[in-house]
Parts: sequence; structure tokens; C-alpha cells
Amino acid sequence: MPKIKVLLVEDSAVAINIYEKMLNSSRHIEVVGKAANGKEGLDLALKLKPDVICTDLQMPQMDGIEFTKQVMAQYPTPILVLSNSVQKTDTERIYEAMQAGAVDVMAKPQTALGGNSESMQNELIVKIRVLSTKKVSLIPLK
Amino acid sequence: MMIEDEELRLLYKTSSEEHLQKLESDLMILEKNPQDTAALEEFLREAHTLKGDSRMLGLDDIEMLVHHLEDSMEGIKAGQSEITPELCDRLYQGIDAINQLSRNAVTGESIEVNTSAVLAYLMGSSEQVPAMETSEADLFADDDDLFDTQSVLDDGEADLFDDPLADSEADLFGDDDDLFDTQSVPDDGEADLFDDDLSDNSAANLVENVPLVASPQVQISTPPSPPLVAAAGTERNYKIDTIRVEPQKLDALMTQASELTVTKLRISQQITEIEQILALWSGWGREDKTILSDIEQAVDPEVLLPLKQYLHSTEQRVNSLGNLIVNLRTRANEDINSLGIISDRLETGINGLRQLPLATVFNIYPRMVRDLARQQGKEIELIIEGGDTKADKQILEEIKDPLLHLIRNAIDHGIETPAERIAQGKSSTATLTLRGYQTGSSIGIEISDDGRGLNLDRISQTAIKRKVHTEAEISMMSEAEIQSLIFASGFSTRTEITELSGRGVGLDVVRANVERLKGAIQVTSVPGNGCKFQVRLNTSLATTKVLIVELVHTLYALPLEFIQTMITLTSQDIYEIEGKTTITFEDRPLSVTPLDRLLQLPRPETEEVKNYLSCIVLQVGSNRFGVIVDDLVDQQDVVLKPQSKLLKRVPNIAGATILGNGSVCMVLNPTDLIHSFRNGSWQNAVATVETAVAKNRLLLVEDSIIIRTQMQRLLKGAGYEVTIAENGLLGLQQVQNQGFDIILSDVEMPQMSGLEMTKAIRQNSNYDRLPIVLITTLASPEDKRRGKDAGANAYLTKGDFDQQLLFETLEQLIYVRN
Repeated sequence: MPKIKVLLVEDSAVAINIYEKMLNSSRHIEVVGKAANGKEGLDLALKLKPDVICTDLQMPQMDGIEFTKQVMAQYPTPILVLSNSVQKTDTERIYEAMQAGAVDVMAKPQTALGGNSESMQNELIVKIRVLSTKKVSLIPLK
Repeated sequence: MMIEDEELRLLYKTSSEEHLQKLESDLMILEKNPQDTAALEEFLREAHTLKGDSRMLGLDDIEMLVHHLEDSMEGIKAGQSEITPELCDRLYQGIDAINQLSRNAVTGESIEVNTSAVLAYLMGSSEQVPAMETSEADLFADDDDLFDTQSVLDDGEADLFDDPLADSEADLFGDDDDLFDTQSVPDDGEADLFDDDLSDNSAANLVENVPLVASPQVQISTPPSPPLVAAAGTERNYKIDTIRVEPQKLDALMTQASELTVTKLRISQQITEIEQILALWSGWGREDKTILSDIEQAVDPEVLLPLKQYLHSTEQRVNSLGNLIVNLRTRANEDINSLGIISDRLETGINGLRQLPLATVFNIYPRMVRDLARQQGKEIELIIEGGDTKADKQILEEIKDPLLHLIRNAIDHGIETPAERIAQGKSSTATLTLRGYQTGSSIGIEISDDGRGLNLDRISQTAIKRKVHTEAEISMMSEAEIQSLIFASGFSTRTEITELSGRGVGLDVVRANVERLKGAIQVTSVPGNGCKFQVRLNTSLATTKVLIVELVHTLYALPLEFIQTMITLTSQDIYEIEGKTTITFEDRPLSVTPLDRLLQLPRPETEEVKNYLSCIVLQVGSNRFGVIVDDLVDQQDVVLKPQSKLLKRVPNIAGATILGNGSVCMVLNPTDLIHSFRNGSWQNAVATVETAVAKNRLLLVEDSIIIRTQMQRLLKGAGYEVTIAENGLLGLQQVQNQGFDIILSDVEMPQMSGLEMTKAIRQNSNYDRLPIVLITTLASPEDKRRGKDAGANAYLTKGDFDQQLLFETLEQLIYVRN
């Protein structure tokens, strides 16, 4: 079975590093690309054709919502939104992301001082494995 | 609490420092201009990211505090509250605390930040910030959340919170409604208790025992202890992280790059050799071929055929050889050009690698000025200019504290309170300017204020009181000299110790620090009208600034840092005091000496006396003396190469450097020079020089005035004592009149040719051993034979005239004769 190709779109280098560590622990998943904003992410998505995309919402240049819209219009891929999700504005934006075509949302995993936190890791891996089996259809831009 | 994963630790270190820096600068902007939505948005974005990062790493304290910063700003964005200086104070303190906490997370260093107390302090702004809604869910997850704002604030509120939510997983996904419940902070000023286990003493503890990072006494950027010491310890660690290469490695690269320049020069000399080959080849091609047709007529063509074929193929080979050489020359020229360009770029590139903009340092001062101004109740506008001026990273790091101190001094001592200022007819807001600029290859940093300026009388009195100088000495001093007394050791005009600028330990230390960076500091002040400090620094520590001087046809370098000034003297300016040559400089006697005597260099005596002398005034510590050089050539930045380790110590020489033209130049050591100057009375030195090097007397016979002058200069430079004769006859007379060690003569001359003169000299057996060198344009073997027959010892042709060959020949012949 080929590995699930995952693209990470996230402006925080810390977060990217954590995701990568978590995902690389699974033999089913391979992180194929990392982008610091939606714009870069879109380029990479079209180029790398990942199976699943994990994206942050708040990013410079192109945020997660616009990114989701663009991906769904150009290269429909299951998108998992990883959100900070502590503030009310975040919830609103998550609904917006879902509307734009994101399949699932998850809180950014918490670790104990960057150490291993297995439950979070498992949750992320499971979500990605589930998502990789989903078919998503094209949502044209309005 | 240290982040376990090393990679994440580094990432967090870099990113959190960046975020905090931006938060702080955005806040500064907002404080001045609350309408700046760009800064507000950036603040929110930075806070959001920092919060996210901290949360993911389980840095709950930081997350909590950042969350509060974010919330306060959200409230402002929503128009629910306003930016007030008080709010800014709180937010700054919050940022400081986060800074410490994140340092703890990155280094594991123990810190004394009571997060709860800081949070309480931050919460003091809650009446302006009712937008607390969801925040408590996360913020007060700790069990000891017990906030006594009264301890910090003057507004008399005592709000005590505890976390009403068991579920600290305040996220969307496991949510129930109460997460987004509003748990607004009471704004009626009453004490609200949400929890029963609150006890009095816990509140008291908070106030009494726990050092609040937020309280002014331990405010991070204003340590109460002597600033230069304390800054390093308590201040947030100042580091420029962009460069991750050890500077030594860059230095090594620099050295290599300058070696490359030399190699480049040597390769371009090879071009000359190629040209010579080319000239040889083209001469070959032009050679007379009639000889073949002559033979053809005399010999049977059949017999000649193989020879003709051989000649033909040789001719072809010579031709193709020629083509190859032409190609080689073209390619070599191209390569040398591109090598030149590349090595130049490399050198400037490597130089530039170590350079960073001054803004990296300047950026840390606005906050400090703001805090100090607020604490002292002064109104100060800080103007920063020239932040893009670049300097060596190390210089930036090391100049930070001296500048910090100067700024502090200006605020503490220089700038008056608004009331005082108004009374003096000044605007109530003082202006403090921090300016960076480039001057040639050095940079200047100016700190100027429009405060009360330096008080000359007070400085004089203090200097006398502290026995730095006597009253008589001070009465002799100029205003500028008195002003610069503030840099003297242990000098401070302020009698009481202020909390802020420490104990006036400052300025002598500042000066020492600046001088350690090979820089200089100066103060100018108009009493009542402000004070200006000027710091001048080299942009690079890797190079040394030198003055190149010429001395007996050789170039030497003098480090610029020791040179006070350069003056032109005439012989009338020089007189003797106690047997020492002296001039009057700045109304005081100054001993001068020719530098070549100091270095014990032999100097040909026949040299013409100049109308003026170039004198360099050197200052080593408090000693001053002048050295006279032949010529001032250039001022350059050079890479000083220390002497080989095989040489233990070479007096007067600090090292060597390679000049732009590839020649080696000795860099002199002024500290040694002053020693030589004092110890070796130079008259003795001259005497030893004279006996040590007895000059060879040379007779130059030459009719062309141009060649004669040139040769004379050349030979004098090589240390010969030269006598001139314009033709063979005069030459012969000279030989009979005085003794020579060697004769150098042209061949073709009116009256008596060189050959005739040689024959005439050789007729006298007294001169059997006198070497005669003929130098001529007649280059045929026949000419040479004739010269030899006449009795010449050597025969040089002007066509391929080579100084080196000439000197070698002369030396050899003299040696053989002796």
C-alpha cells in the first residue's frame, strides 16, 4: 500500500515541526510538502498532488479559507483544518472553512513541552487515514 | 520547564523572539498612534501565532499571557476600550514576562515570574477590556488562580477569580455551551469571590513574597544596579541570530580572499610571459628565408628536397604553435579578467557577511526611552535615524551597552522635567536623537539631546575634588578639554545615586568599551542647550585602518588609531631642546624624529633636501611624538597578518599586510616606536647605521640626461653613492680623481665612447680590479665581444633592461672585487 501523501500548510515553523514529527511516526503517512501560507500551499498542492492537506486558518498572504476554496476549485483534495480554536472568531471561521469544502477540523495538538503526546498523535493520524479514503468533489469558485 | 525536543526548542526560540519583538514594536506604534490599524492587525496576528505555538508546546503560562494580550487588543479593535498609557504599561509588562517565560522554556534557566501575579496585573485593565468572554476558560485553568489586583494597582479593585470550569480543554471539539459563556469581569470595584478556598494569607503571599515581574523595581529593561553590568544579566538576552557562522571562519575566508588577490596578480604577470613567447614567435616567422634560395642555386635540387620538406613542415608547426599561443593569450586574458571580478566580489561579499544594520541595535532603545521617560515624568521624543547603516555584528553587540548607557545618561542627567523646560522657554517635550551614519569606511553614532547640557563649572570642580586634575591644570584647558573630562576614570558630576542611571560609573567605562572596538568617543555641549555624544567606529574588526607612508622608497603602514594628525613642516619649524629635535605643536613642544632613523634604515645621503617635511603626530597613551616620513601615500583598510610564530618578536613591526598591488607592506607598531624613540637616542642609531653600511661608490657615465637621471635615482635607491660623468673623457677624469667601487657606463657617447674609456682605464694597472659594466643598445654578439675585448666585466643591453639583473651584476662584481 502506498503511503498517504500529506501536504502541510501552516505559517508557524513550530507547528509544522510538530505535525511532521507526529505524522512521520506513522508508516502509512508521508509528508510530501510544507508551505508557509496558502499561496505556497496552492502551488504545492497542484504540483505534489497530495492525498490529504492539513491547513491552518490564520496565515499571511492567503489564509486557510481562501486556500480551501482554491484547492476545492482547482484540485479537490480532502482538507483537514488544524485550528487554534480558542476564540469565538475561530469558530466562525471554522464553519466558513467547512463551507468552503474542508472535510474535518481538529484542534492543534498540544504536547508536553514538545515531547511525545501519543493520544494527540493517534488522533491526527487516524483523522488523516480516514480522510485519505474520502472522495471530495469539485466546488467551483463563486 | 524546558522544551524537550531540541529542534523545536530552537524553532521556538527564534520564532518567539521574533513575535515578541513585533508585539513590542507594534505596541509602541499603537501607543503613539492608536489609529494604526496595520499595527493592530499585526499585533493580533503575532499574538495569535505565538499563542498557538506556545499552546502546542504545552507552554500554558505563556499561552495564557499571550491570550490576554490578544484579548486586550481585540477589545480595542472592537472599540470596547481605548489605548491608554496605563494599558500599554500593563501590556509591556506582560510582554516582558512572556519574554522571560519563553527564555525559560528555551534555556531552562530558572526565572522569577509569577504568572498569576502578572496575569492579575494584566487583568487590572479589565475594566477597559470587557471582552473577556471565552478567555477565562483557558486562562484560569490553574488551581491557584487567585488574583489580587490591589497589590499592583491603585484603582482599589480586588478581583479574585478562580476557574469555574473543570474542563480546561477549551476547544471547539469537546465543547459545551459554557465554553463561550461570558464570564465577564465585574466592573463595579467590588471583590468577587468565585471560590471558597481563598484564604487571606495566600493573597498576602502574593503581594509580599512574590516578586512581581511586572513591578517597576524589577522591570526588565531598567535594572537598578549599575547598568553595564546588570544589563547583561537581567536584561533579555540580546543576540543577533541571523548569522550562524563563527566569525573566525569568516576571518579565515577573508584572509584567503586577500591571498586570492595576490594570486590574481601573479597570474596576470604570466600574461607578460605569454606576450614574450608571442614576440619570439613573430620574430621567428619574419626570419630571412633567402638563405634557402641561395643554397638552392648552388646545390642539386633533388638533394635539397628532403631538407625543403623538413623546413616546410617546421614552418607549419611554427605557425600552428603561433596560433596556439595567440589563443592562449586571448583565453588567459579573459580568464584573468573574470578571475579579477570574481575575487573582488568574493572579497566584498565576505566583508559584507559580517555586517548588519544598526537598526538591529537601535530597535531596542525606543522601549527603554519610553519606560524611563514615564518613570521620571519626562516627555521625550526619540528620533532614530540611519538605522540602515551597517557594521560588523560583533561591533553591534558590543556597542549596545555603551549606547544604552549614553541614552540613559541623557534621560537621567541631561533632559529636564517638562516644568523646567517650559520655565526655560523650551518645548515641554525633549528630543533625543539617535543617529547612525557612514563616513568613508567608518560609522558614526550620535546621541544628542536638547536638555541642560554639560555644566563646565561643575565638571571643573569635580575634577579638582576628585584630584583628577589640579586647578592650575584646568585653568589651562580649553572648553572641549574640560568637557571630555567626563570620560575620566571615576568621574561623575551627579552627587546622589539615582535609581536609573546607576552611579555614574558610566562614561569612563563607555569610553573604554568604545576604544576596545578601536573607536573613539567625543562630547560636545552647549550649556543649557543640550549635549551630543559622537561615537566613531570601524565598520569591521577584521581590518585595520592604516596610513601608508613612504620611507626610503619602501612603503610602511601606520595604524590610524594611533595617529593624531598629520602636519607639514618646513626646516624653520624645527629647533632643538636639550639636544632633541622639536617643533611647536598646539602651543607645546613636541619631539620629532625621522621615522627611518627610528627604524634604523639606511638612507642615501645624496638625496635632495625637501622644502617641506611630512610629519605624523602619533599618540600612544598619553605620549605624543612626531615622526617625519618621505611621503604620505594612502589611507586603507588592510587585513593585518601577524608575524610567523617562528619570530618571537620583531621590534617596531606589528605585522605585515599585502597591498592592492600585491606587494608586502610592514605594519609598524607605534607602541614600540615610542619605546625606540625614548631608549635609542637616535644620534647613536645614525652612527651605527653609518658604520654598518658603508656605501659603494659608483661612477655613472652616461650622456643622455634622461637616462642619467633615471639611473641615478635607481642606483641611489639601491644604496649606491653615485657620481656622474657625462662622457667617457669626463668619466676617465673622475676615475683618476677619486676611487670608485664600480663603474657603470654607456657605450656610445660623444668625446670618448664607453669602449675607449674602458680601454683607457684598463691601461692603468691600479684599476685592474675596478669592475666596469657597459650598458648599451648595441646588442649583437660582435658588440659584446668588443666590449669584452676592451676590458669590461659585464655587458648589459638596454633592450631587455632589467633592474634586478643590473643590481645583481653590480653586487656580484663588487663582491668579487672585495
